[in-house]
Amino acid sequence: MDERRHENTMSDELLDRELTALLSVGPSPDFMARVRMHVDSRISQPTRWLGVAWIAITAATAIAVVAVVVGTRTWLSTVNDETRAFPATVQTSPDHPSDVIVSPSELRAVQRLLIAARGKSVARRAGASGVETPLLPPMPIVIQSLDLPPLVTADLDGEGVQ
Amino acid sequence: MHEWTGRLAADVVTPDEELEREFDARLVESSGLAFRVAFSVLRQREDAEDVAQDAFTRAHRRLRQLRDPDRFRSWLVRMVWRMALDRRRSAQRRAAREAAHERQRASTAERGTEERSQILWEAIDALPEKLRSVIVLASIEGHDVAAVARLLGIPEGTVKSRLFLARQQLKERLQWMNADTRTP
Repeated sequence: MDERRHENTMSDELLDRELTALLSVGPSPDFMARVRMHVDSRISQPTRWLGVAWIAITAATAIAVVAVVVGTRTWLSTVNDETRAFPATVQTSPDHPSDVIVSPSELRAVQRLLIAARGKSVARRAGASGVETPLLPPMPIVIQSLDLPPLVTADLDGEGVQ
Repeated sequence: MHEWTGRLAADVVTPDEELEREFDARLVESSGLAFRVAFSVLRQREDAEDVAQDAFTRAHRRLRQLRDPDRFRSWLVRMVWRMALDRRRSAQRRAAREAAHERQRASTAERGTEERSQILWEAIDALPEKLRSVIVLASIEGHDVAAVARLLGIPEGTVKSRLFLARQQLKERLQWMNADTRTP
């Protein structure tokens, strides 16, 4: 019985031959090309992501720039509103009712000086002789307007500029 | 700044050419191995190719850590084996249906060969996984004990003992095949 069983038992050589035949299969001829293509398509995906990332970065930068510009303009308009509280126009004289533009900061400084002078909070400086000079009464600011000659226009008929 | 971003983009977008050449070399020398390992589990050419392809794609992602050819092959074999087992589990029902259909279509002669293969596969499948991986790898590309040990990352003595056990169990299951081959 044992002998018969031994006879029927496969030899290592036969078993190896059977197994080798069973596993002697190969991939299709285009397998490597397909793998290469698949891998290449995977490689190109980060490129797309990189493009999206760059677009996102650019958009974020643009939004930040717009925010800064809008913020600056808002701040500037607030400053302008404050300066409008002190009108920049001064009536110079009845003869010349035209407006003269004065720097708002200068105007404010002068106004403050006048207010302080009226309230006598400005110290009067002693003269060289040590005698105090009397404080002059506040006087209106008179700024003479400039008389500009009329502008000469160019002669369009071809005689040149005068 | 432009130069720096250019270099950064080049690093990200264009992979190291040397690394790509290495990958191509690994692909040429290991595609058969990966396919056969997958096929030994799945028995379907298309499925085996899909699994091998996915394993190579994963290997490509980890190529910097797998530059040593031996390390690459052993990583690939283990990855293919695991992925093939996962796939077989999920597609077992479909595979059984298709196999039954194929058997119905095959001619008598083809059926004889197929049945023989089928019985062999069933005997291999009946082995514990540790024995199965050893006997399959030893039967692929004439791998010797040392090569199988390197591929599986286990000592050669372990490979020898597992091979012995696997052969014993297979021979016992396939006794009738031996009797068939002796019959004139």
